[in-house]
Amino acid sequence: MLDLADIQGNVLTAYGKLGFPKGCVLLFHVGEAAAGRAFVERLRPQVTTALRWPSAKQVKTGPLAVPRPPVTLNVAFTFRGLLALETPVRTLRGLPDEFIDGMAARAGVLGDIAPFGACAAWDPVWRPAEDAAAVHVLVMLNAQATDAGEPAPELAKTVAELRRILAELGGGVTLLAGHGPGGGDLQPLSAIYEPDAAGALRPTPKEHFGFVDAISDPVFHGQLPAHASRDRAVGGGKIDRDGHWTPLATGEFLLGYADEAQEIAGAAMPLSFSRNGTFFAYRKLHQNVDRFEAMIDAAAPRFGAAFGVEDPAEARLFLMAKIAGRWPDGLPVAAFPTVAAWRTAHADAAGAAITDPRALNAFTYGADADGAGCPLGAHARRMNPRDALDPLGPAKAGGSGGSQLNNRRRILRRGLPYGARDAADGEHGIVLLAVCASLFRQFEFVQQQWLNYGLDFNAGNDTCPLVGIHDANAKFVIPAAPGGAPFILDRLPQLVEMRGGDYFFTPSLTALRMIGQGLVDPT
Amino acid sequence: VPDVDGAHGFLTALLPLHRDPCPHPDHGGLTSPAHAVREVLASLPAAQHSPSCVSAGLQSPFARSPVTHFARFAVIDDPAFNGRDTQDAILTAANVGPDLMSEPAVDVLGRTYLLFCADFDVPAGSADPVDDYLRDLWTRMPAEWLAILEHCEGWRTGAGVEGFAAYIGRCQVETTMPFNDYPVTAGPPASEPVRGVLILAGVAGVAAALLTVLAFRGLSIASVIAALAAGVVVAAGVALWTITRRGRRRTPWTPGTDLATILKALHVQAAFTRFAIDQQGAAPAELQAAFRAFLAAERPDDLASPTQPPGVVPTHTGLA
Repeated sequence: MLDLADIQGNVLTAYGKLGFPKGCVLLFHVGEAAAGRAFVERLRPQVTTALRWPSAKQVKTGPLAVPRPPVTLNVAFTFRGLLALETPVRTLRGLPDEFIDGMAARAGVLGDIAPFGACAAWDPVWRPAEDAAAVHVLVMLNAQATDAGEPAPELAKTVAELRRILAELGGGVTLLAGHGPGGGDLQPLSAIYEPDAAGALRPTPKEHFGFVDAISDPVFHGQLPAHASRDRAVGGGKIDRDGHWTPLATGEFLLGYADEAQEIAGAAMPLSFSRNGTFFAYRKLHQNVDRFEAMIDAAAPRFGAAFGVEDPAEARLFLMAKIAGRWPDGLPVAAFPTVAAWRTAHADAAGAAITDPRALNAFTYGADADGAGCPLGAHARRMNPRDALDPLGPAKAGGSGGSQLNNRRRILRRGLPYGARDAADGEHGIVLLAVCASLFRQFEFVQQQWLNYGLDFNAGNDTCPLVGIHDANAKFVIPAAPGGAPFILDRLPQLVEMRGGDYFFTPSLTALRMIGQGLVDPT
Repeated sequence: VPDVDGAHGFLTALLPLHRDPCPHPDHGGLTSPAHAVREVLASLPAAQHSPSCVSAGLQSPFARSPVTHFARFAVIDDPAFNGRDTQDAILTAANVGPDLMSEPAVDVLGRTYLLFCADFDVPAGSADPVDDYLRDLWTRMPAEWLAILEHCEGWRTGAGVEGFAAYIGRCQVETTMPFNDYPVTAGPPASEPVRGVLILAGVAGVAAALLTVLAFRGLSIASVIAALAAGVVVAAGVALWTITRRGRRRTPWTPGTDLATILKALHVQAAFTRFAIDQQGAAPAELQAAFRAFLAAERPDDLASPTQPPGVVPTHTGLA
């Protein structure tokens, strides 16, 4: 049983999918420690916790319930931020190395240095000329939307309120510019809107390349009410040797709990500072939509000819599916490996499969060891290999170690798209928050070994065809069924480019109070 | 397994460093030999394995050696001390165990050593592969070696190639545990037949026992005991001698695993991947013509060129 009122709400849930399709990110610098702590104290009552809101789904909330707010607010700190707030050295030295380094210093590990000078494309806020402008505090606001597709008016009110607090603090805390449109001080976020059957614009769960995104978020113990936990663990949790799905250990996503190694990992002291908190990597990723479309347009006819898909539109969809590991509508390629299977799923009960979370997520790769269904290097298969890395060998060879080698590499994905894909300023992509208890073991490992390298998937040094670094010879191999020739997608253009970010600690409400009151006591 | 396995030599040498401080080559102030040699090593260029190494325009001196697969240096100050041996608390309480008030000995080295390891090609039938390798290595990078050897005890300035091969040869440590990445055969290594050793040891043991009985001029309790003892000792000795001798035997020379062949193979592999991509969907006649052109251009049997240069690991050097 988790103490939901002590955990920040964006750790347990992705607001974007819960009716909060709008949002914005604000970054602050703490010039004076006392003002910084006062700022934290002013924010604290407004922080949205993980308490469940009364909803139509009859989720039990307890005798006292918080209503669903029009705007959620969550707070996180960089290492330099905690230092600026005068967190004791003994606490600071217990924080993980990669968090202390910060994301820019980890660019080599993360592949963000390629090509040479790529870091110069980061938004200016992430590469300050001096420490006096370093990012210390991140505030993320998620907002409900009006019927017209505008953010709820409370979003602007909350931003105005934050500006007023800064003014009252007399300049000890500053709002940083240089990461929003036109170098502004707000990074607006918004789900992508598309017209529904009646022609009204509705928020979609898609990203700019056109795929339904963030379907298989991990599920861990205590995150969801019991019945939902059982249900959503199928495909979202871990799979054991008998093929049973169960939620992952809480300690993979929250500090202070036993993790998948059956231990409570060391954390910054006192334990009340770390417990119920966690880390996230904030990454603003620009998507080169034009390059992606051009790549698909150029290759789809050849791919269709090689794989026997005559309809040009279907060849296009099939190629996109092979690259992503999911069809653009979210159906997993491993479970719907052919155009015919995908078509049937759509015909079946008017496409019920596409909205059924089980059909979207209840699948494994064990029977597809050679990648003839879902390519070994496809994006979704790299990011969450499920049972594909079975340590006891492929299913047909008998052994099943389940998802053992994947259970310590999972990441909760939060965030929303930004910008419009046809925007003249080229500002469009996704703001990704990769939430995990160990950035080193989870986020950085996945980024370095699975996204920007291919050896674990027998794909040599091929990188992720969608998000990886693509050098001049980047390629993506789409295996055919045994006996057939593979299709090799060649000279992949750079599709996703980093625009900046950092590592953040998102504390519990208890730790937030200790930071705000200057009462972190590690003795 | 000896220092030579298949077609590869595995050299491990420990070079003793001077104890007395030496003048720093830049400013003349006194510095420790370990410090000085670490500085020399730190300024040796690495192989071209990352964009920053490539853009620096420098190359590892070992890339000049056409037979070196890997080479490494490490400065060894002291063996690690793992702390006291564990004690049984009950025995200690009963005063049976060791006296906890006495301090255990901590192993230390009398001086600092420089470790040098190299994996290199050994030509078929080579009589003294380590010596041959060292002589060749000296001619490839004498200046770099001189800067290092200046800090090593027992090295005579001006000893030249003869002196170098002899000096490193004296510092060589027998390791018998090389990691050979190019095994003789696929699959697990064949275990040495045990039966032959047992028969040989058995025959020797029985013979020794009989000789002992003869020496005692007949059977008696004393002669039987002596015969048994002699039999066991001789059998064990012969078994040990045989096994050690077999262990020292070189495994068969493996063709096609030398550096030049491996670099050529890497080059052909990369070129063939490019060929396969470019020929996707080609008609058979077209494919055949293209493959002829590929063979003519890449000359798979020509180890000299085109090939991948030594000391270069192609990496992410730029984006499309």
